[in-house]
Amino acid sequence: MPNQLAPEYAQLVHDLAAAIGTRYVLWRPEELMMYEYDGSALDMARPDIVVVPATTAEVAACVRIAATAGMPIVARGGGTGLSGGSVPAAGGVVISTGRMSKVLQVDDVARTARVQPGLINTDLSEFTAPWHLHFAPDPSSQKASTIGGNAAENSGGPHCLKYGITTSHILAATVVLADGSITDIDNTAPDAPGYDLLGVIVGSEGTLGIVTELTVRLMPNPEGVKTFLAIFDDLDSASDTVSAIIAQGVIPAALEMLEGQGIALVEQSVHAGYPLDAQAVLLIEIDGMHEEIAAQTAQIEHICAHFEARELRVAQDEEQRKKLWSGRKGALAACARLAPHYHIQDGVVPRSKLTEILRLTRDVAKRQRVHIVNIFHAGDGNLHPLLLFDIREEGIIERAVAASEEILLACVNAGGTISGEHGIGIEKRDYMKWLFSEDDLWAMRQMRACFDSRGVMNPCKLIPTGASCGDIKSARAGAKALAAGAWI
Amino acid sequence: MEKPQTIAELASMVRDTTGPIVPRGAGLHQAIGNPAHPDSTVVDMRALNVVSDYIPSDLTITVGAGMVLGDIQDILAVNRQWLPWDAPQHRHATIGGLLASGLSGPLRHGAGAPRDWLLGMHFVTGDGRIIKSGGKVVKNVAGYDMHKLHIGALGTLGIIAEVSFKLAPLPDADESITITGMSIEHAHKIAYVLRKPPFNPSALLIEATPHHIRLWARWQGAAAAVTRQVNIARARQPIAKPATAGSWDHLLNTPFSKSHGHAVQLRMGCAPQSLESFYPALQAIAPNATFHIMPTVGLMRLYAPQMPDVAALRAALLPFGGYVVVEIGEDPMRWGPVPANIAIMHQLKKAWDPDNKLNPGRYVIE
Repeated sequence: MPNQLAPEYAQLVHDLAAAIGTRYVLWRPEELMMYEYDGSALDMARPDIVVVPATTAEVAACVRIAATAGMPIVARGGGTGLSGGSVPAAGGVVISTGRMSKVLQVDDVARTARVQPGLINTDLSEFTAPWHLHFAPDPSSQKASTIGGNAAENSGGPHCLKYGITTSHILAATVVLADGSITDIDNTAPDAPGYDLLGVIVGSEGTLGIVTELTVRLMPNPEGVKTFLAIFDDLDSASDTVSAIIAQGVIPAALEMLEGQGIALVEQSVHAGYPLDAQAVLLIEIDGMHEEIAAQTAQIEHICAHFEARELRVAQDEEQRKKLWSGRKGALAACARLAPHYHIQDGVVPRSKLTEILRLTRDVAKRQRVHIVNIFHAGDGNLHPLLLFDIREEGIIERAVAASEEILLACVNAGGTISGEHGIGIEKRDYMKWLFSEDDLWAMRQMRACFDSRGVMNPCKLIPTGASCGDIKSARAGAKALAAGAWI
Repeated sequence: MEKPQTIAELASMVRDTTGPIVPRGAGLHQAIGNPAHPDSTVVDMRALNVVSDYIPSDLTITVGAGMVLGDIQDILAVNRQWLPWDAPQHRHATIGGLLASGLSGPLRHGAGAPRDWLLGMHFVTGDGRIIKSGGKVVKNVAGYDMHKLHIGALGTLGIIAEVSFKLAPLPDADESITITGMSIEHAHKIAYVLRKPPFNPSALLIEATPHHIRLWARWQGAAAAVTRQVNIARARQPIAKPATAGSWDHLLNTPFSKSHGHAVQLRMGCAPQSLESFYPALQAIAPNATFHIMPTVGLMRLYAPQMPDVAALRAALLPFGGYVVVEIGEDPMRWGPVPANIAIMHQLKKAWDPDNKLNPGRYVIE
């Protein structure tokens, strides 16, 4: 590969290096390769340049220089995204937040923390542990994903069932806009006059600006936690149990399901103690005050017995609890035992439709001859059908995509949505039309233009944009192998 | 006055109207903000009062914006569910009007703001398009959360037509206490003690009138957990008295009662940790006012017979990143300093309401 800088980028690289230092401007092909994909499997695109600024001012300088040169600008945190959000679909400059990973301030009276966007999710809760406070959003990628990325995607995680998704936990953001200007969008003083711009910044997938500092809400650690593993011989009973728990007014902290082949795969890899022959297992965690836990325990025991759970285990100590969770959080990587490649979906259905949609998933898997394992946030109705295959098999990518589309469309038809927490990105961009009318998409485009009139911030993402961004499927470079560090 | 029966009728009415339009629910909070344009066509939203989707086992509901919040709570209560949102006058006010006015109550401490429960919305733009944002399921990241932009926007960015909310199970127990007779600073300190583990209150409010200062605290949840917290609180604060759930409604509604005669209503906010340093100035500047302070949320309302010295209040609050808005009452500086990012807000208003039909001049964004 040539190790020469393309002449058309010489000035740009020079200007960026002058702004943030030569060693933080990457342009050699071997340096760029790491930045051409994220955790989603089907979409890849190489950036032209990657910059790694250290401050808000440096991010602003990079944005100004890149925007002046007419380059697309794509922010990137931990690169764990599952919808291609940080893949530079139209090339351009990737701005990595890798050097902006500090906790700037913890206020235990206000129960807030001011952090940089590149801070790893779990690092924040570890930092705030001495105050008995934690950051509630806990995507399964939390050991590697960043708070900035979580905010961009409006990430979920098992515990958002009780504590809400990321948007409810972000109080303020410093944002670099497309023209390089720096602005504070601040809801720390609640209900201040003016439209709630923070409400649209969170979850905007980097299309409105780049967040360079955040104030987040911290939650007090609960008085107690209790974690159950309910084992079922029958998938319908497990999903009926989920619906019954919610319907009876128990909101667990987390309510997760693994089903079918996934259980044995996880057990062989993680040794969490899941029975190899179970058809479905539920991981149920309740937290709160001791009396609440006692009351909810009785309800959960009753419901599990009613739906004929084979066994209901309780984690006896923190080590057992971590073991049960390790099976859930390591599930995606464990599935590499079945097939080397994957495609993961993120549809949501109303919780009363769970049983129906899980049956359909099994049916689709059989018909399209693709392995589908469901490891997901059952309490939210947020499915993660994990399609497993080997791309060396002829026609398999087409069959996997067809299977995935059929399941997603069924979610939409059941009154649900195409993404509960992974984002739209490139991957689900064209499916937005299943949910939204031309007028709805018009309103989104208009709103986006108010922040970025030239469309330089993460172009070709989130909203179907037509010809200039090309056909997603033809851009798909092929699935990549499951890595040890992949999460759902 | 127009009274559309469907969202489609609302949209075509907006398209066909050439002058300014004022969306109106029960009309209880029309005094908030700048006066409506005198030549406005009033759109009565109360015919859009249908529950279009409610499956109790999903813990979500979709309703027309003209439905009265209290009526929605009655429907939910049948299934032991509720929307944890204690807005003033909720027995009469419509859900669309309350959202547009940005009104909520002390339950914000434990339950968060209505924004955190709102899943999706249909709204009608100034050029009469029906726009959907969000959805009906509890997790959904498809598209921008445009619905959040309409909360507190006084109907200037679109007319809220239909809304979807996630719901909570009704708590088994609901107990409150009040403690009377201390300074605001002391009430604030007690509020923070009552927030520390083992306490996990659902609401905390300081009511300060020219005659008394009273701290209100509320616990909801499993009966035994509520009892334990109330018992510990009463052991530590022997002067605490029990209060009923209904007294919170009374408290929230009193400033709006005709006999009360409060001509002025101010909304003030700042990051909660800064409130304490602000209290002495607050009382000195407005000694005749009644304050409702949510000490842990950072939100306050002031009710008074006459306009206090708003400039002095701002001088005391702005250094802490706070704001003062004159919600009801005459004041040339109703909104205070121009909000940051006003340029983006203006563009948004222009994009979605190109002819400036929707409540023109009513809000901080012209």
